[in-house]
Amino acid sequence: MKTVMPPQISSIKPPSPETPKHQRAERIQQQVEALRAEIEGRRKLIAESGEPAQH
Amino acid sequence: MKILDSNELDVTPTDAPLRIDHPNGASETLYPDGGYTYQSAEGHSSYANADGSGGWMAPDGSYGWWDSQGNGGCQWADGSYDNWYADGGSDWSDGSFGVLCQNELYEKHWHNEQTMEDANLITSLYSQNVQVFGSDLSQIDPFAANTTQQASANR
Repeated sequence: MKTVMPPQISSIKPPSPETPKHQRAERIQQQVEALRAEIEGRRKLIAESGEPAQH
Repeated sequence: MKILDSNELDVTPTDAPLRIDHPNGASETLYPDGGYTYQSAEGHSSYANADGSGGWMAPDGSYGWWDSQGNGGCQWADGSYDNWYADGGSDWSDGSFGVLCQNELYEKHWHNEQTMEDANLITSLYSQNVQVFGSDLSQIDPFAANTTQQASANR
């Protein structure tokens, strides 16, 4: 079994009110894309770790 | 935006959930079907399904989701929301929305005083991802005649 370090998962925050409307969705999607990438990385890491379930 | 495909994942099949409790209070669980959940000590959580969809939640009550097709949305703690769609469109809780025009997001407020005809036109533009041609996107009015004709031509 490998030691799995704690994740550093991003949180999603709304764009500031000053963000132009045409950039608003883009700003959020950038955050979401980063979160998705982190999650996928953790999925792979855990699957490869062989860590047993802890109850 | 690159959409991750679940086929790209190298997740080893398991017979039982794999749960890891971290010293900092966070926990993660990987399910046999490829699903994944994360919970932080502070109350943040996120999840992902094997098909590429997923979501998140925050302690303040805000949450969001995305699907495997490039659509997603966020519901914020103050009650407002943002949605975006695979075709480049997006909409907001204040009634505004955007459509994709020559790879630029065009915005137009959808006020209550606008007519149903205007609303139908915008809905058509939005749903059909109409390409509006012009060098200065800031000058393009989706209610203008040329745009209307373009929208009509695409119906």
